[in-house]
Amino acid sequence: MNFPDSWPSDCPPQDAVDAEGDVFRIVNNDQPTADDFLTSFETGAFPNRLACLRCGLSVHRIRADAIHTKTKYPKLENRIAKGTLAKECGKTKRTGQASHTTWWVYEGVNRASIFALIAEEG
Amino acid sequence: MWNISGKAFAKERFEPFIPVEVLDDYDGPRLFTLQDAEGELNLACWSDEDEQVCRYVVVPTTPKILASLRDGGISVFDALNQPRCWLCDINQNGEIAQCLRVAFETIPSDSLPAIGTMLLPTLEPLLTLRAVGNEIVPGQIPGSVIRACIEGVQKAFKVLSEYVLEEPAHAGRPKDFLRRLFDLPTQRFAFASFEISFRMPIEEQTLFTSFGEKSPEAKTLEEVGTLLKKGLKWLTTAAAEEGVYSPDNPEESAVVLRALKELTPSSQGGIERLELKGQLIGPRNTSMVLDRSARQRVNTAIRFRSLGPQPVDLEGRIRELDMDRLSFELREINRTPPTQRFVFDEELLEDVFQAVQDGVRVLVTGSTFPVKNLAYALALSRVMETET
Repeated sequence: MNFPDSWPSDCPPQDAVDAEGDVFRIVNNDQPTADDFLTSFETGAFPNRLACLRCGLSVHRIRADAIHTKTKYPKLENRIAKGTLAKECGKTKRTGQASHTTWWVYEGVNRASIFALIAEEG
Repeated sequence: MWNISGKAFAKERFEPFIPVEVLDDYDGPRLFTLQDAEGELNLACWSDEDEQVCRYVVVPTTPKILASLRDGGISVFDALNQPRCWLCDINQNGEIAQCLRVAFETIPSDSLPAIGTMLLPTLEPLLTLRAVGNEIVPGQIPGSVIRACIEGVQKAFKVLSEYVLEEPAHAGRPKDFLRRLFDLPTQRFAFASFEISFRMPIEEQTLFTSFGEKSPEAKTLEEVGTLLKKGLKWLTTAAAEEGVYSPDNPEESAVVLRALKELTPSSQGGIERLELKGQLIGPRNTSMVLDRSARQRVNTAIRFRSLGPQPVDLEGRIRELDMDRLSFELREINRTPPTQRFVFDEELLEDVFQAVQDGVRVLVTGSTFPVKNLAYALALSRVMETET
């Protein structure tokens, strides 16, 4: 279980912990695909952002927080998927506000397969 | 991405397009402050993107606006709604591809934060009501609309809270919590339609989440929310169309229906539709809409269960005044049962307090809920006592 060599040497940060538990991610497809789980490092977006954060994926620990993010930025993807992480999935760390968590994924992990769409109210 | 119609603007003003402080991050900075070439503070919000560029709404801001954004005084939309506004497209190298001066109103609504959405989920109001109706226009909002929104929530909350607090598990709540629970603080008013937001009476990170240790106050509030959600959900079901509320718990049915009656728009009056959202009713993509037919469904269910409030005129002495919960017990009533518990509104407090001080017999006029020997006191008058 390794992280890509192309990442900065101190990434993930030392205080990141083994991934575990339920997380929620905003996705665009009814059946989440690999495209829904690309980091900004992989897409090339936000080049001015901290390099290590660019290598991670944003997820929320609380479903309501994911819905809240979606209402703040309606042009983000429009569905919410839930996944249960385990230590084989990578490392995580609470970053930013609310239950926002950055997930650094080990090489070779099929990210989309961990997630399934959840029903939403309203 | 949509086509911008705006005036080209010197992009150098915002170069380098690098956040000073990131206020919100999701796969990258979405909301952040930015200094322009003159050293002035600006707020930038991610709006849209395609394979070439990310588009940001950029507006001038101030430390006061940012402080208000952080403490929930204004929404993200409000913070962005400024007289001057630019749209900046940033390419994959982090450079400004173009920058246009635009009118904020011309930005498509689906490319901006939803109106009323706060910076953080924890800053979201407990409950927000937006009243919609032909008579509700800026500058001419009838006072009755404002009163109905405020009183409707206060009364619904009071009914549900009284029910929850009567449970043994909720005895002995701190007084300041009860005071805030029964007189919810206001977080925000908006007058474009009429919108009022009620603030959380307590601050607790784990409130309305499924994990973490909860204080007794948080549990009380969550139980009130659970009852309200149950009622609101019922309103959308086929059972509600038939006017039949779940018969499994008669007392709970009574309080929930009573609370719904307070919240739904009356068949008369200026409010045709109420839009509800907030942490109390749970995360939603869109507001929950209550129209006048919702009131009819509630009324039918109340009639079906014979729960209609009955007028009461009772004579006795007021004891056990709880000034925080605005409730008292009327004792020495000359009939069975000899005691009756009442709740009342703030404006009756002085009369009630005086009656307790003087120890006199009073005639209390009100209506029953009817639930748990509880009634709503509407008026109070002293009774002349004759010596026997």
